[in-house]
Amino acid sequence: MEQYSAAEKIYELFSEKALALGIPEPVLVIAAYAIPCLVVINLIQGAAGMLTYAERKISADIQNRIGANRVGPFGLIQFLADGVKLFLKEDIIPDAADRKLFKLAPYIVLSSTVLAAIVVPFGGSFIVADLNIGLIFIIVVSSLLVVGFLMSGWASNNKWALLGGIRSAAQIISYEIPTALSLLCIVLITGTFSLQETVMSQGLWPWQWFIFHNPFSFVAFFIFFVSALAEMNRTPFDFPEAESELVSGYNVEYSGMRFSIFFIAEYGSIFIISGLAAAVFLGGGNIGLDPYESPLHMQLLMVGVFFAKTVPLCLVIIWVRWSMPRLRIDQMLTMCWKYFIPIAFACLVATAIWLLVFNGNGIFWRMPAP
Amino acid sequence: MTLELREMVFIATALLTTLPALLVVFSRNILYSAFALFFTFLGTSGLYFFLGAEFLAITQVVVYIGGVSVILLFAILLTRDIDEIKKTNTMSLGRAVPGGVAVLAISAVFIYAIGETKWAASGDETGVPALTVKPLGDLLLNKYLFAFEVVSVLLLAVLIGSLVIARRSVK
Amino acid sequence: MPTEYLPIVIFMLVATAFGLGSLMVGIIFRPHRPYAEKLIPYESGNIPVGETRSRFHIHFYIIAMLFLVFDVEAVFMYPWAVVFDKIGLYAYIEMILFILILTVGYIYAWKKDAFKWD
Repeated sequence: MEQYSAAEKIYELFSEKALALGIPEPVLVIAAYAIPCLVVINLIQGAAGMLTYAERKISADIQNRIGANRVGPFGLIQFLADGVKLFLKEDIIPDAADRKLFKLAPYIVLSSTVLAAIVVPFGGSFIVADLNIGLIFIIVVSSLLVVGFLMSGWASNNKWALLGGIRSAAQIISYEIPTALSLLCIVLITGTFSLQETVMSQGLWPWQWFIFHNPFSFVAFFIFFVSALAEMNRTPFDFPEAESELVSGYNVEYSGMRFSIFFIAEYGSIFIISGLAAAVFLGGGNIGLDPYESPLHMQLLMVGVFFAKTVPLCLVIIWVRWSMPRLRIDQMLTMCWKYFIPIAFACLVATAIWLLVFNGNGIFWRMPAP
Repeated sequence: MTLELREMVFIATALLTTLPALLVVFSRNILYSAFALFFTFLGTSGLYFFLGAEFLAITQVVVYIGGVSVILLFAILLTRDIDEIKKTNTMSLGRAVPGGVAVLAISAVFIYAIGETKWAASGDETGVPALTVKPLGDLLLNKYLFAFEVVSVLLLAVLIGSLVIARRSVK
Repeated sequence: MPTEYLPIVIFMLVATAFGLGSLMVGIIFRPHRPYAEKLIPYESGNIPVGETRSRFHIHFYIIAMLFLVFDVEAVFMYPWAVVFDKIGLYAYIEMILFILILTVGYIYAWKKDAFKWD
């Protein structure tokens, strides 16, 4: 199994020089991994910032308003101003709150959101680590998030926070199953959990993407996307934060930087989930070349292709929020347990039959020669 | 990766497993115990990664953190006298003695098992398969097929049993 | 531990350090003026009424249990999905059996109104 990771490359590039300078090897290894980590964390933060701006602008357009337009041209650096504002806000911990858990919860939420970014293939050879279990890793991350949300909801000692935490936990775990099953449809085709290999077995043209592999993977894509909306607590599944009922849900008592950590995690996960949907179903940054053999400018083109697919998905998520009313909680659960789970199972079984009948080939997609 | 870094990470993971486990046992607040269990599960998953059992590690997180610890938390939140949560883990001689005997017996079994196992030398990964999911799938569908199918019956029993118990408590 | 999993550890550390760092630095700049009214739980500006940590709907618990069963089932499908292209029809029949047995449980849950919110 080949190792594909940015950190390995950094390590290879600098190891000789650094060891000659007398830098101990463990420090070098940690630095080699910490650099991609920092890059990705900043990328997520930037993406989260831009998405808050996009959300404000798009919602304004949809509701016939103007939206943020004061800071910078067209209000473009509004998110920086917001960041500075949140940074300077007082950090309030309510008296009734459980201080230890109250302080711990944001870190769990942030670090598990960022963890998901490890396996996102940003196109070309840009991936932090191509884990053998990459696709399951996404589901792992949402399991960790559940605990973070429950913890913040409980620790706040606020009715709305607790209700929001419990709702979000019930919702995330319910929709985890359709998410996992729809991803398994693609695993059936590729026979691997590695995201980079999943991207590499698709192609530049839409008919080479896994969404158009067979009719059932087409359905699987929508199941994945809608379940992802629910896992991110986005409208029409935003019960945990339901503004009109729970004010803000599990993070209602948080203020200042702690609140912004939740906020970064929320918008960061929109970006990450869109990126994963693009990589798994829409061909990711694949332009028909081997990312590990291509020159740098082609790799950057692949990154461009990846973002060209991810950003529209992010915008669709925002668009859905401002177009759809919120469901009722019983409708949300019925939708998951009575429709999504059986449909996802049926998709899985049908994909398996399709692969057996057509010998692993799709409608246009062809099984690569071994 | 160098040996020192590997050892550092291992010790950190082992501490992440054991220290919260102590909190689970000794904390007077049942909710702290539940959240500490989350970290213990996380550390255990890390230890599985060290053994090269990546699939087991991932499963540990998905099932134990995503499922079991959420059930535990929900169960605690469902208890009637939620303000009495500080009454767990009380110490008394009547409980300490049998508890201590059980601990000694279990550790004797563990120490025996550790002594009997033939450990691969540190850093020697020749015997460890690089991937664990595929060989596992092969084994499940061929050699352990019967066990695999029995698991589905077990899951069916769990599903029906849990519904029966939960429904009874509602009505 | 295989090197490829090191990023997980480092990511968690870096993310936590990032959060901690931004909070620590913020201490210098942000005000700290607490008073009793500011520190009571927020309830639309009213004085909070009643018990916060009251019991809630048992249905959440039923969902968590159902989830656990289906989650374990999904876990058994991961190794199956990976080897499916090699074993083929044989693997397919085995998994159909597995799913069918659980479908019985699913139908039972449906009939028992476990998916209904009442």
